[in-house]
Amino acid sequence: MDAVSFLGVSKNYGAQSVLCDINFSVAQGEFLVIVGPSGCGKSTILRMIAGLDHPTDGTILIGPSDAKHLSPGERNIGMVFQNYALYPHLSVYENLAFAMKAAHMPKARIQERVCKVAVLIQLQNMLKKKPGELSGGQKQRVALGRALVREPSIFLLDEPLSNLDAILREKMRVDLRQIHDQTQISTIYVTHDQVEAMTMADRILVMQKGEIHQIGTPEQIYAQPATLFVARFFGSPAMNTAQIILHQNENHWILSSPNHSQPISVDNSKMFNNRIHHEKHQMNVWLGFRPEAVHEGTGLGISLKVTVFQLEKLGARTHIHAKWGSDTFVYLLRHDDALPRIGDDVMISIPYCELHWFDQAQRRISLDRPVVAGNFQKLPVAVGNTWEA
Amino acid sequence: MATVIESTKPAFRIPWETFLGFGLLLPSMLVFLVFYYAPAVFLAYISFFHWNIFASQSIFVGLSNFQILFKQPLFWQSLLNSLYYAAVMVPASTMISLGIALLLREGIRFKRGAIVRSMVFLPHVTPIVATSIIWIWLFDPQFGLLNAILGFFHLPQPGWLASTHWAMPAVMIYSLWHSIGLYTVLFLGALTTLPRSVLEAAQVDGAKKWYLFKRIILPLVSPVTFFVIVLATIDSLQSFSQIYTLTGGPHGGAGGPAFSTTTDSILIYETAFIYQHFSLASAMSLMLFLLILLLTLAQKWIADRFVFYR
Repeated sequence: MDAVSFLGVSKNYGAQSVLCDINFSVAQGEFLVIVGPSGCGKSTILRMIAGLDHPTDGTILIGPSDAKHLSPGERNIGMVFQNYALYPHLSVYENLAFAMKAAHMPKARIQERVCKVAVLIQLQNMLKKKPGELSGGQKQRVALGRALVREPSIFLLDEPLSNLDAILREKMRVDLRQIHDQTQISTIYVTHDQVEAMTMADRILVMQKGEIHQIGTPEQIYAQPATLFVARFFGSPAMNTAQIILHQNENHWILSSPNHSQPISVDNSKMFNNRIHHEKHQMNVWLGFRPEAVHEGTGLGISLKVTVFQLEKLGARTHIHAKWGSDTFVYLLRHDDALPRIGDDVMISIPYCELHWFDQAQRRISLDRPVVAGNFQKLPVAVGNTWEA
Repeated sequence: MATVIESTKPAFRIPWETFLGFGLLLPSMLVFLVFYYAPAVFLAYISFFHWNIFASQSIFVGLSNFQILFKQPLFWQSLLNSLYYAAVMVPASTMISLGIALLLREGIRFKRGAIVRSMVFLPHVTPIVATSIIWIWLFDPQFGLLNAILGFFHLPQPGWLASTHWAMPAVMIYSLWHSIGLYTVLFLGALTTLPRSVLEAAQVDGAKKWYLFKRIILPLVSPVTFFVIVLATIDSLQSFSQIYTLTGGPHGGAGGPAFSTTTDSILIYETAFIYQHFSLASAMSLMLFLLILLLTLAQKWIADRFVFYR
């Protein structure tokens, strides 16, 4: 049985649609990260699980039961808000004990549980202080403790680390994952930070504009992004993308760009042979490749001549920004490689297996199979996910 | 080194902005001084005289005005009436306005919320004397709307303003009607600034409505509650116009049947402007001032222990 399931959930505020036909589920004990740019509806999903918002359409299941009939307090959820939302007039102890007092639990048991959690969040000495006297990181831990102390069946976190500084954020990232591994509580974590998503998640759900683009493990998301949006969102520096026109010329294919005058012949018939259907002699596609897949010099795969215009030295490696026509690409060199100078023309090559192709609607196409124009699956095209429509 | 820095600035030079600032403040300061503080000081001054409008004939009598006052049963009764009035008005107006504010807050999302809010506030902006005269008719034992309604439900119909027992409650009902709007708006302001996520966190923590109100909302609006209580205390101890108008003022005998609504401020008015005994009235005013001051200090003392400032 899944901890949470969304079945065809939509949410409108008046005429504005925030979420559109959302389907996914979270397994027991799973750590799911919902990631997307701000305003994509990811917080709305969390708020609907908590019962603070209600779907316009569709069903949310919490465990076996329809959430429609459950008040926020009855859902047995622990939630951490972005701004912590601690009770400012209560001490840390009272903040932690609030939910259990509301449930009329005996005092001795409350004390026992609060003390246990206080040790877990390392705030044993702060129990008498008011939230106003705590630092940002300590407030964050109280918020975490308040959610944990109820021993919830689902743990919701709404961008919990975004108000912390970089060092603390990295530490909390590890701590959070550790707490999850200890408690094995099903966790849904909302963030706009792709690094948090990649490092913490069992599975990642990528959203944009109220639609799910992909659900998958971090490896799947990185290696087989389902849409151009997902491809660009994950990875730092971001994936290089360019609009490409594929022409068929006799038996081989030519790759050109609307932003570039010089066509590039693709020698490899293995790549395209019989894989783009034959009636079509020209195809507009998006090409993507990761900066880390680029090799300098000519080699296997596609070779491009680019002009270097900027170098970013980061110590261990250097980011090289180069132009191909009016497209800009970034690639990486190790610190001991010979660096090009600004203005140099450099040949770069990308192996065929590292190329990602997307159609005009920015959905991933696999060139293993013939592609018929106008016959795409409806979004989400989730590659390798465990989700079933 | 510090002296070097200091020496670049001439000592004791007041920038011209300071003059400009005080200059701009001067008109309002003068108004306050002439019409507020000077009369207050003058009032304290004449309470030690047997005062005559022709000031040269006034005689210094020391504390004998206060001695006379303390021997007057009517003075003590007026104090009791004032305290009775305040003791009902302060909790009633605070609780009712908080209740209305909570109800209106629930409905704040509806479009008609604004209309309801202005309707609640409306009584407060009406002139007291004019609406009091209307309420005299509502309270009329024989022809009044209030007794008509009570009669319809076969409930006892009190004599209201004509009764020694019911005159004061009638005045209170009118005063509640008139003053609650202001307090409701103050509470509404406090409720709308409550952090939404804190309320939501409490909901997720399983707090039911009453628990949420008791443990979260009430402590978080406590600064405004304190302000409203102080305001209501001062307002009720100083109430004059409605008591005067409702209980016979226009006919010359303000203060209700058998002095039942003769509060301190009514007695002060009558002593000064009907019996022309200005120094005795001043002494009473001073006592009322002391009473309000003491009450406010006591409230402050309590508030320091119970009010939570964010």
